[in-house]
Amino acid sequence: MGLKKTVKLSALVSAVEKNLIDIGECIDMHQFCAFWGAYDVFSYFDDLVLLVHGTAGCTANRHFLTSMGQMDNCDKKIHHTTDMKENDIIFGGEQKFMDSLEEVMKKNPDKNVVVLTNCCTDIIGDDVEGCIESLPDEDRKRVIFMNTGGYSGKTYRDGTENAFRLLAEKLYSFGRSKDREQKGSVNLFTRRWLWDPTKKKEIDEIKRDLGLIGLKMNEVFDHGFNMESLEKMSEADVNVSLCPFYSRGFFDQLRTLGGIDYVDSSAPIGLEATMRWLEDIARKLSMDISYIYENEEISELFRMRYELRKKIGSGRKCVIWNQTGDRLLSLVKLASELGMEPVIVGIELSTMREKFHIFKKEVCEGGVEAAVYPSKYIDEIRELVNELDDPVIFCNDNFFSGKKVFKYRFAHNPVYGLNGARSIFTALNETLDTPMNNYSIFLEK
Amino acid sequence: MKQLRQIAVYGKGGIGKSTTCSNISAALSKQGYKVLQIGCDPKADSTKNLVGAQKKLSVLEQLKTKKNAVIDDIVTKGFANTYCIEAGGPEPGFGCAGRGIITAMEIVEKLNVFQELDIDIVIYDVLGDVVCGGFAVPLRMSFAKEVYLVTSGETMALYAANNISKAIKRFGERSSVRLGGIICNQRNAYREREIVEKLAGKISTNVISWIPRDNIVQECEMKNCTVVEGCPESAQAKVYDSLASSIISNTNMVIPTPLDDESFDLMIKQAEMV
Repeated sequence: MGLKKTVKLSALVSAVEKNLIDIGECIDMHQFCAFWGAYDVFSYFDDLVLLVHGTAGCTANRHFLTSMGQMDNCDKKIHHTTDMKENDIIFGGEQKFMDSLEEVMKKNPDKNVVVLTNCCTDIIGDDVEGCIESLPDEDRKRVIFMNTGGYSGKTYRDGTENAFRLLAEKLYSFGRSKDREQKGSVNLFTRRWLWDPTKKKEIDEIKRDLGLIGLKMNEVFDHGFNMESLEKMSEADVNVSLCPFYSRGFFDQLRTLGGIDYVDSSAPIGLEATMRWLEDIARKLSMDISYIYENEEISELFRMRYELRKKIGSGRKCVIWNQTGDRLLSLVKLASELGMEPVIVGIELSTMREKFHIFKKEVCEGGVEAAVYPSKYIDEIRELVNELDDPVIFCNDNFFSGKKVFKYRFAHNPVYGLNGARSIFTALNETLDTPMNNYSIFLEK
Repeated sequence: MKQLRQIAVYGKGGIGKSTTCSNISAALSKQGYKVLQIGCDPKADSTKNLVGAQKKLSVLEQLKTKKNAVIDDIVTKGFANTYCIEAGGPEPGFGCAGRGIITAMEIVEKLNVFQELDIDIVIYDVLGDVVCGGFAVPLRMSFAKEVYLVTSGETMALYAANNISKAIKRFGERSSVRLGGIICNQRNAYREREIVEKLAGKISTNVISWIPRDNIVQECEMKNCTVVEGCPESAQAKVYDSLASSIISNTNMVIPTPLDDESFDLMIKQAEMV
C-alpha cells in the first residue's frame, strides 16, 4: 500500500495548533489582503456605497474580476476611488479624500458610505479617521470606515471579520435589544462567489430542509442585501451558514452583541453532515427532531446510501483533493459515511491555519479523521494514487487517467442539504458505473 | 567629455550642512566650476544664502501646479552663477517627504538638468539623516558617488555620522558610492578634535576640514548670503575655499567601517574618561 508517507489529519491539526510547522504564505484566495475581505463583505449591500481612498488599481482589479460579480459578468456596481496620484502621496491625500467623500455623499443621499483605504494611504499615514471625525454629526453617522492596507499583514480574514464587526456594531447601534421572543426562525449566510441559478436553488433547498424541522427563514445574507435586512437579522433565533469561514466574524458579533447563537458545524454536504447540521440547529433551539428519521424522503436517502456503500465496497480508499478547508472536511465526512477510507492530498497548511477553528471543531472535537499525504505535486500524488487499489478520487481535474474520478462541480450543482445529498449519491453512482475515464489533459491513451 | 562629480553631504539636523554646502558651492563657483546645489529637504531652505532674495518654486511645488515643468521653472541662478534647485516637500505631518525626494530627483533626471546646464559639480544637501529610502536616493540611482559627513564633537552629531556611514557602507558594497571624509563644523565641544578624529579613524576615513565656530557665519546668513560672498577676505571664507579645494583634490574614497552601537558608546565613554 502507498500510505507509508501519510500522517493522520488529527496529528497535523495538533501540530498546526502547537505551531510546530513553519507554514509559509501561499497564493490562496484567503491570502488576499484585508482590503479584499472588507470589500467582499460591504459589496453585499445595495444601500452602501464604497469609496476607496488610495490608488485606483485595487478598485479596478476588483471591478473586473468575474468571480466578484455574476456568472459571465463583471461586477457592475459603481465603485469609487480617490485615485491618488504622485502629488497626493507626497503632499498627503486628506483634502482629496474629503472632497471625494463630500461628492460621494451628495450623489448618494440615501446611502451610507463605506470608506476603505489601500496600502499607499496607510503607508503615508493619511489620517482618514480624523477627517471623518471632523465631519458634522449627521454626515459622520453615514460613514463606516476601515483601514485595510494589506501591506500591514492584515489578511482577507481580518478584513471580513473587521467589516462584520463594524456592521454588527452598526446593527446594535439601532438600539436592538438582546431580549426577543423565540419564533423558530433562522438567518442563513450563503456561499460566497456563487451565482444564480445555483444559489437560488441552494437557498430554496435550505429553506425546505429547515421547514422539515419546523423552522422558517428569517433573513438570507446574500448579494443585494441592505441595512434594513441587516436590522431584521437581529430578530432570528439562530444563525446558520453555508460558509462557516466567511460568516464566523459576523456570527461571533451577533452572539456577543445580540445574543443570537450560531451553528458552527461544517457545511451540510452528504446525508450524514446534513443530518448532523439539522440536529445541531435543533439543539441550539432545544428542539427534539428525532422524528425526522421517519420522514420518507430521509429514509429513502438512507436506503440510497446503503446501496451506494455496497457498490463502493468496504474500506476502499477515497483520495480527496480540495483545498478549501470546510469543504475538504465535508468531503472527508462524505467519504467516511460511504464506508471509504479518506486520504487527503494537496492540503494547503496556510488555509488550515486561516480556518483553524473549523479544523479544531471537526477534527479535535468531532472526531473527523483521515490520512494526509502532504505533497501538492501532481506527479507524487499520481504515484500515490497508482499505488492504491482502485481508489475513488474526489477531484475536479483530469489528472488521473483511467481512474474513478468523481468530478462534481460544486459551483454548478446542488451540494447542500437533502437534495444535495441525493444529487451527490446519484452522480457518484454514475461515476462508479462509467467506463474508466481515459482522458487526461496530460496523457491521452 | 568632462567628468561630472556628484557629491552628497549628510549630517545631523541643524549641524550646519546647508551653510557648509552653500559656502562650498560659492567657493567652487568662484574657482571656475559650474556648480549645481540641490537641497533635498522639505523645508526648501538649502540654497537661500546663494539665491538671496530670489524665490522660485521647489520641484515638488512645480509638480503640484504644473505638469510639465522645464528647467527654468526649477533652477535659480545664485551667487557667482551657482545653480540652485530645491526639491521641496509636504507640510509637516502630511504625505511622504521621502517619496517627494525620489520624485524630485526623477524630475531632475528626466529634465536632463546636468547635461543641459553643462554642470561640473553637483552638491546634494540632504536632510538630517538617511531616515528612509527617499533620503537615500542621492546615494542610489546613479546620483552621488562621494559622500561627506558634517559633524561636530557632540555625541548626537557623531552618532548620526556613524549611522549615516552604515547606509554608505550598504550602498557602497553594491555600487561605487564612497565616503570622502568628515567635515567638522566645530561647536567647541569637550575634546572635540580628539573625538572627531577618533571616529574618523574608526570608520576608516579622514577629517577633511575643521571649520571654526565664528559669528561671521550668522552675520552673513542674516544678510541672506554666504561667507564667501559676504566676507570674502575673512579667515572663515578662506577655510571654506580651502575645503572646496580639498574636496576637488580628494582621492581618498572609502567604504566606511561604521561602529555598532555598543562600540560607539564605548568610544564616547573612553573619550570622556581621558
